Formats: sequence, structure tokens, C-alpha cells
Amino acid sequence: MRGMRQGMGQVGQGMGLMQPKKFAVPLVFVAIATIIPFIAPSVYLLHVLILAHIFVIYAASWDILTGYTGQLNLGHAMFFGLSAYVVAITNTMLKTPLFLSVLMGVASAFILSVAVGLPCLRLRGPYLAITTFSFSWVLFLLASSAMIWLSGGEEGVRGVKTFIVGTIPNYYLSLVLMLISVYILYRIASSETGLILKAIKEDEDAAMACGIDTTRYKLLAFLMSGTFAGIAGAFYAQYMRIVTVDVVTLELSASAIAFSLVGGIGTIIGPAMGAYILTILFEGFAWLADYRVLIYNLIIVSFVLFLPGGLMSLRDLLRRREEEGGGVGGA
Amino acid sequence: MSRSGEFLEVINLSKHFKGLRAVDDVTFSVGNGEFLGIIGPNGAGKTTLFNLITGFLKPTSGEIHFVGRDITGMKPHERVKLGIARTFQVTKPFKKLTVMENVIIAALIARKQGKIKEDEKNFAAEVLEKVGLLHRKDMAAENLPHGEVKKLEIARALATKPELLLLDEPFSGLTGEEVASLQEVIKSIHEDGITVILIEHVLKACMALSERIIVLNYGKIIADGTPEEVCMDKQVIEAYLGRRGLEFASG
Ligand SMILES: Nc1ncnc2c1ncn2[C@@H]1O[C@H](COP(=O)(O)OP(=O)(O)O)[C@@H](O)[C@H]1O
Ligand SMILES: [Mg+2]
Repeated sequence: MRGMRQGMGQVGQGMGLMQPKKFAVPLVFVAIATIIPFIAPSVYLLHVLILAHIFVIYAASWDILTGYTGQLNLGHAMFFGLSAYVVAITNTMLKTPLFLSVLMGVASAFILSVAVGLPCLRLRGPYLAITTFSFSWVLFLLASSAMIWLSGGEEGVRGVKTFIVGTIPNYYLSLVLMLISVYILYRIASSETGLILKAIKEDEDAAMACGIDTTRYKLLAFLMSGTFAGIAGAFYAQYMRIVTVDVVTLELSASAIAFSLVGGIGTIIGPAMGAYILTILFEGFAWLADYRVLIYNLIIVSFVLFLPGGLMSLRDLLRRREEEGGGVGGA
Repeated sequence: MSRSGEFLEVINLSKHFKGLRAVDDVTFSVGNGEFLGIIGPNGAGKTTLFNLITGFLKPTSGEIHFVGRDITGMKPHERVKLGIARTFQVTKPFKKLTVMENVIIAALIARKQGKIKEDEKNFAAEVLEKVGLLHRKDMAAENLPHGEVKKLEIARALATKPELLLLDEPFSGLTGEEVASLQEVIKSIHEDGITVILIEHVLKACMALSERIIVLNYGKIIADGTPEEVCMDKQVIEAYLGRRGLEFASG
């Protein structure tokens, strides 16, 4: 019976009530995250955590396309960055109200995901990776040189409005946004749709032979991925109130991969964890920032080689151990 | 046998790969409920023919009609929804997913179409039971032994609720015992009313199951008839079956 339940857990609904353990970790996290501003009211710490929340959304959104659907996206920063720029530029230059700017930012990421997704539907493997990389590279070139008059280059676009002033309000706003986004992505990933995406990752021909319109589902994955990255980028713009080329760099694209590898690709929660931990690490130890690209690469290479399943695979390993140990802790 | 020519019709179908005529002006039809075997030497164009019927390849010329509809331009998943399912000669399991999940994925689509009324998990369990894989339902597909991967391929195709099932060498690489048990499974699938086209190298199994056999050679049909007729056909014996054919024909 146990095995049966586990086997179906991926597809089943209403599993939650039967497994209170499953909710323990997220609940403890939410509880701690809620009281942090009271127990450690350091503006700097909260700032780091706000960035962590933003990058959690960013990493989880990468995972739905690459981790679940197997469409290797090497240029995820393009969605984050385009949205952030659109928010900043419309808000400061066109003076559109912030909420409208944010809508336009997210919409632009959505549209970009269609524009990148459509040509990518016919591509597989390295061609897809090169295409996603190229799109993000073009965006970087535009922002860093060709369209500097609009993007402000290194100086960036300054003076973006913010929804709420203050670190603590932004902390809670980002926390709520992150929890909602990760919850939605996780629910999608655990649903029938998620199972279909996994099937496409495993074998596209076999998925077609099962009657799956793989083109439609891959496009859906692109849309979800790009849109959530756009949400993260829009929030970033209104929180930082300045947008520079940092938001479209190769480094930011690589971070999505590094975050996800650390946490465990294809699990949503894993990449979210990876983003949280690594962001705190980098922002907390500022001197590390100089070695960021190097460290990302080291992480990518070493996790691919030694722990391809990331931290989440360690958890699974522990669980299996527990079960094999005669089910002492079994309920 | 029911009226042929109305269920599946393949009309002057050709597929060329850079000058190579893998399928060369092939015409045949299959009746509803029929069991058709397709044999022929390696490279004869059998798998290519399946890829054309299922939409994985576009023909160079010719047409395919299914239940009176021209399906030549349809995508693979659309043909599955019409009721055409297939297995792959080189098996393609969803390796990281469990056996159950493999089958559920196919059942999901069938349920969305209303072909399955019951819960897709129960349905998937029934299909697994039918092919004798239910005891493996929670195993990751990548851990299955070869013989059972072959069965999983068939289970997945069955879970799409097909009317026409195309099996591409389901017996290849199986032990004698496995062949016998799979033969029973395929027979019972046909008895459930599903039209079957079977490509096979294991001639004994193919001859035993098929009511009619088409022989392909260099992309062309060189014989079409009952197993007995085909085995007696001089051209077939010369072109393909050789000594083995003679042995078979003479019992
Ligand atoms: N995608 C392809 N591209 C080029 N040649 C192919 C392709 N698929 C099959 N062929 C060639 O077409 C011929 C028929 O192959 P196939 O249909 O696989 O034969 P069979 O299944 O009867 O062994 C072979 O010569 C094979 O090399
Ligand atoms: Mg073949």
C-alpha cells in the first residue's frame, strides 16, 4: 500500500492531509521567515533575504522549463532582465503608474517567452541551448551598448518608484510573492501537467506516441517559465529602484543553473532552496562576489559530476535509509 | 473478416531518404479487426512504414486514410487521438518515471478525450495487469529488465485506447519463454477487438498470430496473403526467407 501511494503521489491529489510530515518543513520555514524582522532587525540582512526571495522565484521558474520539461535554457536572465528594464523605463521615462509598469514588465516577459519559445519548439538539445543563449546575449548587447541611450548602460535606469517604502514592508511583500509563486509552480509541477512535462523531458517521441501535443506543452512551459521570471524581475526593479545591465548578464543566467543544481533540478523546491542558500552566501560574504562567475562554474561542474540530483537527492537518500532501517520512524 | 479497405488504407505511399527509396509506392489496406503481419529483411522499410502511418515521418508522396479520413497531414498526437497507437522497435520508456506513471501518461490523454470513463489510475492498473506488469508498477522504468520494457511499450500503447495497434518487433531480444507469454498477451489484445499490425523478425510468432502477411523488400510489397501462401511464394522464398523459409514451408 505504501509503495502504491508513493508511486501515485506525483499524480494524486489530496495527499496532503495524509502526510503531515510533508508540510512540517515549509511551515517551519514560513514561521521563521515571518519572525526574522523581529529577532534580527538588520536592514542589511533583510535586504539580502529580499534578494533571496526574488531569486527563489527566478530559479523555480527556470526549473519548470529546464528541470521538468528538459528544454535547456541557458539564457534565463532575458526574461528577468527584460521585465525589469520595461518596468524601469516605462515608470521613469513614460511616467506610467508603477502597477501599470509592472504589468507591462511581466507582459513583456510573457511575449518574449512566446518569441523565444516558438522557434525553440522545433529545436532539440544543443540547438535549443544555443538559441536561448543567443537571445539573452542579444538582450545583453542591447542593454550594455547598442541601446545605451535607453538602458543607461552601467549607470542604469534610476528613480524607479516602489510599491512600499522601507525594508521591512518589502521583506514581507517579497516573502508573500515568493511563497505564492513557488506554491503555484510546485502545484503545477506535481499535477498531471507536470507529469506530462516530465514525460516530454524523458522522451519526446514516446510522449507524442502517448497522444501528447508536445508542442503545446513545451510552449506552455516556456510561458510559465518566462512569466514567473518576469514577475521576479518586475519586483526586483521596484525594490531596487534602479536597473542596470546586471539583470541581463550571462552571470545571472548561469546563476539559475547553479541555484538549481545545488538544490536539485526538476523538483521546484530544490532550485528554490539552492537560490535561497547561495544568494545569502554571496550577499553575506561580499568578498565572494568577485569570484562569483568562477564559483558558479565550480558549482555547476562539481554538482553535475558528484551530486547531479542536488540537495534534494540527499533528502531522498535519507528517506530511503529511514525506510530500510526497519521503518522505526514509520507511521 | 470485415470489409477491408475502409479501416486503414495506404495508397501509393513512398518515402525517400536522399535517393534511397525506403518505402516505394506501397498500397494496401487493413480491415477492422484484422491481424496483419509485416515481414521483410533488415532495412526493407518496415519501421519507416510505421513512422509514416503514425505521422512520425512525412511521406514523399502518397496518402494514408483511416476510417475513411485522410490523415496524411496529421500530427502523431492527433492520430493517437483518432485511435492509432504504436510501440517502438528501439524501446522508449520514460526511464525516470515509474511503470505506473508511464502508463498513466497515456491514459491521461485518453481520459481527457472521454475514451476512459473510470479513474486513470485504475485503468492503468488494469492495462498493466493485462500485460503482466502490475507487480512492477512502482519500479522506475529504467530498472526493468529488457523483456518487461517491451511489455511496458505495449501497455503504454494500450492505455491510449487504440483501435489500431502497430507493434514494431515486440519479440526482439526476448527469451523463448518470454516470446510465448507475450504472444498470448498480443493474441488477447486482438481478441478484445483491436486491429493489430505486427512487424516481426521472429517468424514463428508472426506466422502463428497473423491472419494475413505482407512481405516488404527494398521498400516494395513483394507478397500479400495468408501465412501459408506467403511461405509458398517463390519470390518471397528467394528474396527473403531463403533456406529458413523453405524449412518453414515444408514444416
Ligand atoms: N531517418 C532516416 N534517414 C535516412 N535513412 C533512413 C532513415 N530511417 C530509415 N532509413 C533507411 O531506410 C531504410 C529502411 O529502414 P527501416 O524502415 O528502419 O527498415 P526495417 O525496419 O525494415 O529494418 C534503411 O536503409 C535505413 O537505413
Ligand atoms: Mg525496423
